[in-house]
Amino acid sequence: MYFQNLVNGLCAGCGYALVALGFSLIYEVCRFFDLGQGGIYVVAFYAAYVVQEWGGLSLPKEFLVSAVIAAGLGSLVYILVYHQLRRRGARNVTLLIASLAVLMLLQNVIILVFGPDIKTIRGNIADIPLQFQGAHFSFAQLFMVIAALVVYALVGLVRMYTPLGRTMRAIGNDSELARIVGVRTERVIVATVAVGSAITAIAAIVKGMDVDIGPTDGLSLVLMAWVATILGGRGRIGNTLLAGIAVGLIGNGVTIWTRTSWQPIVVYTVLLILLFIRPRGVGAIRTSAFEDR
Amino acid sequence: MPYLIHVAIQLLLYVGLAYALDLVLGTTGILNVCHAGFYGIGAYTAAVLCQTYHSPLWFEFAIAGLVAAIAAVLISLPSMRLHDDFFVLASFALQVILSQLMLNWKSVTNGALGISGIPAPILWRHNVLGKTDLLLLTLAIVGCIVWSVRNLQSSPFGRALCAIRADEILAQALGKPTVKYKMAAFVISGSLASAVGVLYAHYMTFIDPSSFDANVSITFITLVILGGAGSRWGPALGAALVVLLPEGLRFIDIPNSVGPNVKQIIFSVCLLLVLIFRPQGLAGHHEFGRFTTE
Amino acid sequence: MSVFCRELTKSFDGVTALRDVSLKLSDQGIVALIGPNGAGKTTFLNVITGFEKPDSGSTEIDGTSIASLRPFEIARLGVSRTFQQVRLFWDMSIIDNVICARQGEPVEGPIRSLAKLGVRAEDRRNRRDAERALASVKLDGLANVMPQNLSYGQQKLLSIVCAVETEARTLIFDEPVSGVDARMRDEVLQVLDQLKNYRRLILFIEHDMEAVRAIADEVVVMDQGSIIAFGAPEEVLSHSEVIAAFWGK
Repeated sequence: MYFQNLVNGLCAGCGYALVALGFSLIYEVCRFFDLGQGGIYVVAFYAAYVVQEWGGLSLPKEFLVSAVIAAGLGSLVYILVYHQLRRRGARNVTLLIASLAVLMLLQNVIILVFGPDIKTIRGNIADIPLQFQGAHFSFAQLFMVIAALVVYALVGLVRMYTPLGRTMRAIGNDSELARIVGVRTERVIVATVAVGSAITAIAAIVKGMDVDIGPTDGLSLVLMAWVATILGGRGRIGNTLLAGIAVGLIGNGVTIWTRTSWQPIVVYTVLLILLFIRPRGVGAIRTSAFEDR
Repeated sequence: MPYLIHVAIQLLLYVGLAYALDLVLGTTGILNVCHAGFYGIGAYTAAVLCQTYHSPLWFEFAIAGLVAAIAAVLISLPSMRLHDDFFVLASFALQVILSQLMLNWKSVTNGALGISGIPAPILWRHNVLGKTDLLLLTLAIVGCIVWSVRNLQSSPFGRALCAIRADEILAQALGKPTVKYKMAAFVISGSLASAVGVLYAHYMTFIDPSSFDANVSITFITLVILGGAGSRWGPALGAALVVLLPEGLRFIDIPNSVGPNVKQIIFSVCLLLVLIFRPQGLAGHHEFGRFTTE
Repeated sequence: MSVFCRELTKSFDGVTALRDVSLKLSDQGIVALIGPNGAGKTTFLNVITGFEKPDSGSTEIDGTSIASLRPFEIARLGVSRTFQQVRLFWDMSIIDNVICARQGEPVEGPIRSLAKLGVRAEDRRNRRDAERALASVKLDGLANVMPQNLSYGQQKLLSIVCAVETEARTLIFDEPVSGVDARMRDEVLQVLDQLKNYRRLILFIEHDMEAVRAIADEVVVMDQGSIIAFGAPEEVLSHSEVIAAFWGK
C-alpha cells in the first residue's frame, strides 16, 4: 500500500516538477515569480483541446500548437507588460501584482470563450493499466515521469552546452554584469520566457492526459509550482526536479493519514512549514541583510 | 430605496476593507494576497457565534479580530524577516488554506453550501433590525476603521512604515525594528478586515466560501492600486469604482452569466494600465511600487 | 563608546574580503579608514554594523557582543551609519527624512501612535529639532523638497544629518565626500569636525587624502582584507608599506 502511494506520489511529483521548470527558468533570469504562467498553462491546455476538437487526438500536433501559442503569448506578455514595467523602474512587488493581473485576465478570457467547465483531452490510451512490482498506475502517469525526465535532461543540456544556456545562467547570476559585458540581456530574457512558457504548455498537456483541467486550475497550480521553485532554489534546475517530486510525494503521502477533504489543507500547511525551515534560494536567512535588485 | 441601501452598505464595506488593506499595501508596500481570507474569518466567526451562541455583537468583533490576528501572526512570524517574495507566497498559501477550510470544515462552515439564516446582530439585549439600522451601524464601524487607519498613516508609526516601504535597509540602519512594524501593520490590517466580515455576515444573512477566495483578494488589491495606494482618498475611490461599475454595467446589456468575467477582465486590464502608466492611481501622489532614485 | 573587533574573517564566493581583522576603537575622535579598492573597507563596515555576518571572529560594542543582533538592534546600541551609495527615503520630503531618523520607540510604536494624545507633542518637538538640524547645515529652506531634487552633495549631507540625528554615539560614514564638489566637501568635513565636540566616535571611509589629513585623528589602512597600518595621519601616510599598497611597489 505504501509502495503504491510512493509510485503515485512520484508520478504526480514529476508532473509538478515539469510545471515548476517553466516557472523556474523564468524566475532565474527575471528574478520575479511570473504568476501569469498559471494563465498560460490554462491557455495551452485549451489550445490542445481545440486542436483535438478539430482534428482528433494527435499528441505531436497538440504539443506543437500549444507550445508555439504559449511561447508566443508568454513573450508578448513579457514585452507588453513586464518589460514596460521594468523600464519604468518597477519593483518586484509591482511585477508580482502585474503577473496576478495577467493570470486573472487569461483565466477569465478562457471562461468567456469556453465556459467555466472542465474539459477533457485524455484519450483511451491514457488509461491503459500498467503494473510494476504490485503497484498499479496508468500510461498517463508513466508518461508524466518520462516527459519530466526528458524535458529536464534537454533543458540541462541546453543550459550547459549552448550559448543561450550559458547566457541564461550568466544573467541569472548577475544581470548587471551580464549587461555590462555586452550580453543582449533583453533578447535572452524574452527567449527564456518563450522557452519557459513552452515548457509550461508541455506540462499542461502532459497533466491533461491524466486529469481534466478547467480555467480556474491555474491559480491553485501556481502555488505548488512556486513552492517547488523556491525549495529547489533559484537557478538550480536539478534541485527543482527533486523539489517537484518531493511536493508530489508529500501531496500523496498525506492521503494515507487524512480524509480526502482535508488533504489540500494538510498539504499546503506541510509545504508552508517546509518552506519556513528550509528556505533556500530567495528566502534564505542570509548572512547578508542586503536585498538584490 | 432598499436597492440604494444595498449599494450603500456594499460600498461602505468595501471602503473599510480598502483602507485596511492600504495600511499594508499602500503605506508599507507589502503585497498581501490573503485579505479576503481575513474578511472570511470575520464573516464565518460572526455567523457561527451568532447562530450557535446568540452572542452579542461586541463579542463577535472581539473573537473575529482575535482569530484573524492569530492567523496573521502565525503566517508572518516566520516569513516577514525573509525576502519580500517569501511573505507573498506565505500569504497566498494562507489564503488558499483558509478557502479550503471554508469549503471542507463542513461541520462548522457547511462547506460550499454556506451558512444561511444568520440572525440580525444583537447589540445590547436589543436586536438591531431593519436595513436602515444596519446601514447606520456599518457607517459607524467603517467610519471608525477609516479614522484609525488614517490616524496610523499620519502618525510616527505611519512614517516609519513609509520608511520601510521606501528603503528597508536604511530604516534598519536608523534603528527601526522593521520586522516588528511590518507584522504590526499586517495584524492590524487583518483584524480590521475581519471586523468588516462580521458586518457582512449580518447584512447578507448568507455567506459562502466564494466571497472570500483568492479572486476576491486580488480584487481588493486591484481597487486599492486603482484608487491610489497610500493616499488619503485613493482606497475610497477604488472601492467606489469596484462597487459602482458593475451596477453601471447592469444598464448595458451584458448577460448575467458572463458579467463577472467581463468585470474581471476590465479590472485586470485597468490594473495593468495603472501599474504601467499611472502607478499613483487615480487619486494618489506616491507612485506605487517604483524605485525612486536619482 | 568602544568598538572592539577580534579576528573578523569574511569571504564571498571564494574571495576573502576580511582576513583576521582586529581593531579597537575608543571613546571619541575621528578615525579614517583608507585603502585601495577591494581592500575590504566596506565589508568591514557592514560586519560591524550587522549587515553582514562574519564567517568567524567577533565584534563587541560597549562590551556587548553583536553576533546575535540584527542591524536595527546594533543601531539602537548607538551605532549609526551611511552607505556608499546614498540611501534616503525617496518618497518623503527631506524634513520628514530627518524627523523619521529622530523619532524612535516608544513614541513610534503602533499602539501609542493610535492614541493621538501622547504622540502629537513629541512629533512637534521632533519637527522643531529637525528644522534646527537642517538649519545648521543650511538646508532648512528646502525642508519640503523631495530628495530627488537635491544635488548629489546635498543628498550626501542629508544622509549624514539623518545618521547624526539618531543621536548615536558612534557614527560610521561610507565615503561621505566622494563625488561631491569642493564647497559641499568642506561643508561636510566641517560637520564631521564639529561632531567631535559632542563626544562622538566617528569612523569614515574615504579615498580623498586631503579630507583625511584635514580632520582625522587616527588612520587605519587596509589592504587585501587586512589592516596594515594604524596610527596618526602623518606617520601612517608616509609609511612605505602604505604607499606601496596604494601605488604599487
